[in-house]
Amino acid sequence: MAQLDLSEILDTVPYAVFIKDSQHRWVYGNAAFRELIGDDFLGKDDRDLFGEEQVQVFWREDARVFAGEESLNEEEIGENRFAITKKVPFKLPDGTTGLLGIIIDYIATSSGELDKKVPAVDLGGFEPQMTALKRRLEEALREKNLAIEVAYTDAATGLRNRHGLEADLARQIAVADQTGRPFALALLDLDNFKRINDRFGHAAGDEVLKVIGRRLKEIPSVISVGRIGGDEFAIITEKIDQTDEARNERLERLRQIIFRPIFAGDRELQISGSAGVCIYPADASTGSELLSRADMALFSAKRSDQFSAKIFDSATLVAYQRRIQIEEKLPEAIRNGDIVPVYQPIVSSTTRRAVGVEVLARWRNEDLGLVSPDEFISTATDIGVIGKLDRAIFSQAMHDTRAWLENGQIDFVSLNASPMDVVSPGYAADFLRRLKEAGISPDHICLEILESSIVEDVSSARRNLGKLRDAGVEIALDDYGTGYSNLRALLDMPLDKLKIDKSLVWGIEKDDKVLDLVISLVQLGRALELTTVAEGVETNAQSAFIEGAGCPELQGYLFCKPQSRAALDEWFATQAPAAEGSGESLKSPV
Amino acid sequence: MQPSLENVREAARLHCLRRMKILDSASDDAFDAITRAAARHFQTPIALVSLVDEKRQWFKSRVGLDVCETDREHSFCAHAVAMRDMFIVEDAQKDPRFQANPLVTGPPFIRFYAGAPINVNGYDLGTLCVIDTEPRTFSAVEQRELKRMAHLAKRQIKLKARMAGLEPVQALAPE
Repeated sequence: MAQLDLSEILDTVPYAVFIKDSQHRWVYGNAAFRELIGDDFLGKDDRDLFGEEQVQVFWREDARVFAGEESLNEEEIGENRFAITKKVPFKLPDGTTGLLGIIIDYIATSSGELDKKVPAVDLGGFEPQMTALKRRLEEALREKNLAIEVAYTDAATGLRNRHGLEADLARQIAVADQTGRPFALALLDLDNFKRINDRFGHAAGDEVLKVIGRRLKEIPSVISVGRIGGDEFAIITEKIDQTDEARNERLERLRQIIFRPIFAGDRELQISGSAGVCIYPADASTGSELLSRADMALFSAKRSDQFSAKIFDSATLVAYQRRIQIEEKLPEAIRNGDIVPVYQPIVSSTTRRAVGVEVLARWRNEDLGLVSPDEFISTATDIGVIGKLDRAIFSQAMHDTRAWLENGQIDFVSLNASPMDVVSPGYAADFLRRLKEAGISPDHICLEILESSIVEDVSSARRNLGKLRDAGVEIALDDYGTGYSNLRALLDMPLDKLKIDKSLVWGIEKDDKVLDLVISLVQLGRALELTTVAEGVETNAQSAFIEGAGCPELQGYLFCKPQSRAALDEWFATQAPAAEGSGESLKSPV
Repeated sequence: MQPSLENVREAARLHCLRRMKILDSASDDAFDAITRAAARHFQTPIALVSLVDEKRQWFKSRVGLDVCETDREHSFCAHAVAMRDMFIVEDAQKDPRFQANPLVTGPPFIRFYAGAPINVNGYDLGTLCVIDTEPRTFSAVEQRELKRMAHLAKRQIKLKARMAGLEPVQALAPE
């Protein structure tokens, strides 16, 4: 019998056989092995094929074999691909100890399920034989799936966590690419979650999260629901409406489903929030882009007062980028004094002469153009520089307005108080101290506050405002007639003035009900001894109706827009002398 | 003789006016704001809140006029009340109804008149009117504005009545 060729024998074996030297380098591989990893393997090692973690697993096993043990191990050699390898010590020709390995079974599974075996390499048509090993493999896989499940699940709610949602997003993108069906990612954010946690405890907070999660799951046609941040939820749905109207209707229904009060213990908690929506593939092409753009839409939705939902569009992106730029440039703008006070007169409706000025802030930037206070004040609040900005505007304004007050051109200067200030302890004392430093009497100051700033903490607000008022500062409730405009606020707060919001002023020409409402507000003001001021007066007809309704003070572009000190000096000069007063428009004085 | 429907209606209107207890009352900032605003807005020397009584018209508020009442016979406002609608005379000297009117031929020498009824509980109690000594036209927009300002006067009358605890008069016609 002729000598058998050992290498031919080994090449015929339908299992991959290989030999490694003591440095883990492959020094031999049979045909099945070459089939598995390619011809060019001599002298290479696992690091050329596998990730670092995997290599460490292999080499730990290898080390045991080099030390003289045998090993039988299942090893993950790729995404859901497993090999069962027998390794034995092997004496190499140079006397060192390497190892000989035989891959005796090989299983590939799709999407983590073990029901479907797809050998990536042709193992000669052999079905896996070793049922005991297979069982062990199945267990390992189950554990792995469980681990994945745990890693993808939010413990508090049982929903997907951020990882899980990202995985679902990736899968849904694959589905959408295959089927051509678009899908939507919606992010939701609760308004007052932190407050609920702080005030009613974490148990109440957790209950809120669970209930919201349940409600989200109940939404028909939802594919995946995740909690991806403290109070931030995400849903994936394939149901996408074609028209804006249908979309808005759907969002409104969603709102009704999600933002109902929640009962935690014996408490009824009011829930509100915002939503941002982004659609694949129309608005974004990757999972992370979907998330970030839905987040932008959410952000822009949150800017509005009550529940609102925003669907991502190019305007959202532009607004978001602008916001980022504002955030970047704001601190420097404050340092450089680029944000300056401007002044808008408030006139008497009888004489149409200025009785006071409201201090507003203006920021003109080379790149951003004119940045409105709505934009930069909210940003300044968010990034914590509002205090600095307020102080800068305050001292400049006190400097600028002093002459007008001294000349009797105006009686008062009206300043806007930031919502945080009004409720922070010691604000009143600090404000009065700064007034004193500026040498301005509190009698000449009116402080405009927003209703929203006092609902946070009525008692702190009342303490601050009471103290200021006792010192002579007038308190004005700003923008009355927007948002909720609680009547109770008029009683709870020490107030001197009520500023009727421009939205009401603008409606007065067209809408009988608005006219009635404004008349009623003025009458209400009279009854409560509040001076009413109409904001945003832009036309003669508006001013006539407002004056006719008995509102004593007016403010708006019709009289003068917000101006720099120099420009307003000129405006004062053009005003008719006091003696002619209200008669200026009459043809013959009475 | 059967009283005519007109007479019945006029009696009810006068009843409503008296129930408001506004005739011969003291001057009032709320009404003065309305006439002042009207005179300013329409740029007329005279603006009135005029209430049409049985024999006279009495001015609850007036800008540019010294007398507090005139007789009903020569009243422009009585026409508006009778018509129950906006009443405009662009040039009284050319209008046969008013050419010989002593308010036209003598002080305050009315040439232009525009009055919008003040309707309370279905009755036109008087008008908010603007008067000029020069002829002029009055656009549709201006008419609408004057009507809305008359609405302000109506609200004030109702408010005063309510604050005085007077029962609202049953409406004969819807407002």
